[in-house]
Amino acid sequence: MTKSTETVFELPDASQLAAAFVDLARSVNDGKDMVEVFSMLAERCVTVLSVEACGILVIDPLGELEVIGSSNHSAHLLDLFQVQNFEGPCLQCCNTGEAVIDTELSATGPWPGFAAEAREQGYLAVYAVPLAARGVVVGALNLFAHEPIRDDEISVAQALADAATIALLQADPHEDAVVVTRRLHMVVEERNTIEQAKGVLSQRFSIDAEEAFVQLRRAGERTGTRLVDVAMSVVTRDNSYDAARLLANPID
Amino acid sequence: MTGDRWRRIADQIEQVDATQSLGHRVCAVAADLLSADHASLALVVNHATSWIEGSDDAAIVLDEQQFSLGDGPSFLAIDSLAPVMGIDMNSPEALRRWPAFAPVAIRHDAIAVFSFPLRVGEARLGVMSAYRSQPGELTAAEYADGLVVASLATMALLQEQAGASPGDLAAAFSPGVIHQSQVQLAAGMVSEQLDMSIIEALVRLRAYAYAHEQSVNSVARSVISRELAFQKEEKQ
Repeated sequence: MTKSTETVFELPDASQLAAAFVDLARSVNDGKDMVEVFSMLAERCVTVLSVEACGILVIDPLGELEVIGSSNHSAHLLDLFQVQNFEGPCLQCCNTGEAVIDTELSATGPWPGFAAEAREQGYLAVYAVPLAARGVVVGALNLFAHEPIRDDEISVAQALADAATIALLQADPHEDAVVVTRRLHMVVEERNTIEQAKGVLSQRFSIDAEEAFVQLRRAGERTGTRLVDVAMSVVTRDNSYDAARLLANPID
Repeated sequence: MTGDRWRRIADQIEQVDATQSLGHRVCAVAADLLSADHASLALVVNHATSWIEGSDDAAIVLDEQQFSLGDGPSFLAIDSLAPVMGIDMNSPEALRRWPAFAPVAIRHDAIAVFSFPLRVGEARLGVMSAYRSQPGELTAAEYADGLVVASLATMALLQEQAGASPGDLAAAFSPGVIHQSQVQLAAGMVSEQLDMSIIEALVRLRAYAYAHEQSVNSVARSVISRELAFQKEEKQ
């Protein structure tokens, strides 16, 4: 997407911002699965903030960081890089529960490998804000920008991260640690199912993983099926699902 | 911080007497971590079990009863893909839910039964059960440990089916295997290449990695970049 230089110095458009929160709330009420909610959130962050890419990670019950949603492939790769190389602002954010801002991406900084990788992809500023509920950090939202963003935009990102955490945990006052663990486990397993389905489709149609995700979503939209159910029917080749039959061929 | 929980439990499994079967070692650790009297693993296809292992004979008997009766919390865990917590087998709710199994469980002094699905995405291998003689719920830490043991058991079982020796748990429990997303993507591709189930595809990826002394993650990357494709003719 393109951004005019003026928008960098304005608050995010209020109607866009409201739409982002409404989207989140509605998708949870609609029973959308969490991978879909987080993918939408990542895309929304790119629309309302002057950032180029966004990725979301959660800490699964194994204690590992798992990439759940990304606005695009570049964010996905940078998130995976942090997970696989055990370095980067996201890890520090998850360890401390504090937002991390890096507008230098220095080769002599705390994560030289990640900084080089981010610069390679054209980013000059990286942000990580915690997904936290009642003092427990369950993940982080990462933002990648071509130039530093303003403090109030970081606050907006934190508000969106809080909304996402509420969505993830379907937070109510009675929820306890078991519920949090169960939700984190479910979202990672849903992500696994969706990755498996992306693999099936990327092989079937000779497309990349990003395009395969678009195909899954289109099948879900055309048939009114939850993304994770589309994925399940693709992986198990269950043609009793309209979505699985539809995905015998690429959807335009 | 990250990785501590699974590493601690993986170490504990590796430290159990290596002359014992893999299944037994996992069950022994599961029973210990969940403060259970007995724990078991069952491989399940279409609600029928092909293999059961337990921390002791009582665990195996209890699992066998569930599968021969076709009734019990294992089925709920398998169908819902979510852990089933320990409903008191003496309660009316348990009797309503599991009219055939609840009386059997009580007779075997299994008052609280916990069931964790063994799965990675849509690869559904079976169920891990823990049986306690006292009613009551798992603590949050026990619950989280249960999920981790079930995940490690799933990975170890896939690794064993891929031909790795049962004692060789290091390969099953390496960080490259724990980080799943690329492996799952590659498994989806292989399942389409070879027209096989996602479980078989996960086993094939591991078998290839094992035979070529590579990590599963690096094999997955080769599949995703299309440097490596599995051919149907390769099938023996």
